[in-house]
Amino acid sequence: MLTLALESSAKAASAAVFEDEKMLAFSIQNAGLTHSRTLLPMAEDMLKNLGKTPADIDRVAVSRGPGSFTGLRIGLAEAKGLCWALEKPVVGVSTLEAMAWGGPVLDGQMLCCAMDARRGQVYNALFTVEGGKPVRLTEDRAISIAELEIELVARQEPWILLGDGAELCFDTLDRSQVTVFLAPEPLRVQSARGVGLAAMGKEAVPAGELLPQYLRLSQAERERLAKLEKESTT
Amino acid sequence: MKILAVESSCDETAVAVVEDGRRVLADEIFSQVALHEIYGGVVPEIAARSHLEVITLLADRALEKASITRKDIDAVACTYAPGLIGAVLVGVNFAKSAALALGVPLIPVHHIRGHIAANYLAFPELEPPFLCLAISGGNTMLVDVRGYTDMAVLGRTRDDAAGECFDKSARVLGLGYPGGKPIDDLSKTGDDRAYDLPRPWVNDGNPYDMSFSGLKTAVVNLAHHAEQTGEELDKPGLAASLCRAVSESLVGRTMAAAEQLGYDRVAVAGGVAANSRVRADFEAACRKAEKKLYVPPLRLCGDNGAMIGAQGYYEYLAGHVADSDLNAYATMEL
Amino acid sequence: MTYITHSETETEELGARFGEKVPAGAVIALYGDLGCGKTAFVRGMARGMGLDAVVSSPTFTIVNEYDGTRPLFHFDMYRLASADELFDIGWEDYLARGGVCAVEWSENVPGAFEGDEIVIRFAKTGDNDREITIEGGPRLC
Repeated sequence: MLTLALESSAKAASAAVFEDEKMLAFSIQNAGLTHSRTLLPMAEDMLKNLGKTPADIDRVAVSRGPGSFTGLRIGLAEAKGLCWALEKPVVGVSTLEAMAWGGPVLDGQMLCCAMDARRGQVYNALFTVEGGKPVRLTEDRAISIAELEIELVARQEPWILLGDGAELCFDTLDRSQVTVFLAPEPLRVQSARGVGLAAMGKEAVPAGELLPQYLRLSQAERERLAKLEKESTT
Repeated sequence: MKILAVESSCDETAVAVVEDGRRVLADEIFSQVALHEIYGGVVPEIAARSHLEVITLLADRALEKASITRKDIDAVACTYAPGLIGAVLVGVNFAKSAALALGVPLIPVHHIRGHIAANYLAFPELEPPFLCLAISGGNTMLVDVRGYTDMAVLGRTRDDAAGECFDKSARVLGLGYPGGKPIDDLSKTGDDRAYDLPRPWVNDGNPYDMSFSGLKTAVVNLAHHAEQTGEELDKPGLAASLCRAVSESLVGRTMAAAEQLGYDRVAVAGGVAANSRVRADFEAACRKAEKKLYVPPLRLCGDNGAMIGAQGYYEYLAGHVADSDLNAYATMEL
Repeated sequence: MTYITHSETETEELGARFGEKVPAGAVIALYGDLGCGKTAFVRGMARGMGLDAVVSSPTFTIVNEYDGTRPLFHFDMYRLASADELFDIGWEDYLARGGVCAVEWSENVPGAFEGDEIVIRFAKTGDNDREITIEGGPRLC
């Protein structure tokens, strides 16, 4: 099964081609050019070099957020365009989960994935690693670094920090309370490699059902629902 | 040649199938007006999100309506400029990926050229050269259409677009958004001489340039003055006076340009072409000057995918195709 | 630094001088009542930033985007009812895009700022006179 993976949620854009679990090609661009110009040509060139055509793609995997709204929409619109035209399904993958899959997946390791959400907040999810695969400990959420620190301390484990929010966490967290390590630079941020790996074994859906996960909305939605709930009970 | 055409530059998501630039096989439109109504204007981020949500559904429907399969698509065209950048990006990236996957040419289309091409769909006999006034919520320009892909802008608004003037006036009159239609409706029962509004005239430089911000300000000031003094505002009269002022400014310049360039055919395009005063005045002026007038039916005046498919065909014939690195642009010369 | 202007043209001129020097990525929080010259100031900014654009108030679109080497994002937060709506308009994304964000009616969105914004206050001191105070940002000469 040939999977094309796309990642455009942050500053760098990347694409990868997988034959089942084996990565055949990987391409990344981090020169500040808009993903709208760079992402699709990377996919096109890789396929060409592999002697394949877009019609050979069995499914597309794409990071669906959290991340830059505009960046996400570029990746998702391309995934939708390809899958709609090919009548092939698509897998939307959490950016944070893709980050974990692309990280140092050593068994027993605790992974803290964090993207800078400004004002002392991060988009975050926690994972542990079992059998070489990340296993979720939390949902994706927007959380203050202070709240995150309480959770990390409570688990009494050393954590590896991943993502463009890793350094922010490293600098902000009270390291006398919690042991944290910065993941090595090449493994630190999300990439199409992580997206492709995270998509393995996940169910693919028709292109029309693929939606971005802007994340902040779900938090706002939760607050709205909580408020409605409170109103209805009083 | 069957072109799948995508338009997402503002608050309409549209996908169409057009054959040989002239025959509309499908023209699916999803209007976001309801999403933006609470703000009273198009909020860019909300527009972009909505485009992404509905685009594949519209593409599915377009194929179904046209009774074709993906294999029948010979090329994919899309609006790549001008517009709200986040909104245009969705259509461009969907379209170029679809073109790549289908192995067909990708054709970038300028949104205003699309509006002009709406006339080709409505009038099979119309061919360049002709003069065209393109008037919408975001653009107002007078264009010398020398050929299908050879155009020169003769004049344009120096500030607000004509449609913006209607939208903003409608708001101060409490008519909601979008403002074009309610102003038009209200104006029909009003006296167009009730208020003496300034004619948007540009005194320096290009005689075909226009200005509408002074007119908008005059309406806003009248409304505020009435509010402060408790004076009853003659709303139908004000709406009628506004339509007259806008129309006179547009029609006068267009006819003068047609005369100067020796054109006997005048076309109007864009959402403001739906305004009945503008239509009526153009009809009268063209009758008097013995020129043939082309104004597309209402559905083709607003943003739609069919017009992009129409212009896309002629861009393709002129060799204007793009690669997978096509980008979207907020602004772009015609 | 406080400046006194005596007409909309002068306010725009001050904006142009500010625009020439404002760094990419700056967030400008504008405070002041209706008709105090905020939009005129931003119009001047656009000119000073070398943007060939017609600047009008983004009251109903919340934000107008002007493209250039240093893009300008002109916000009007008057109609925003809550901080949650900052998310709806994509505020964070604009911050990350490296342009200059000029925000009218900053009063309505205290949660939008992180403390590194340039604050500009507009006060009406006469029919046409305005007192404009700029806190932080580039020095104007």
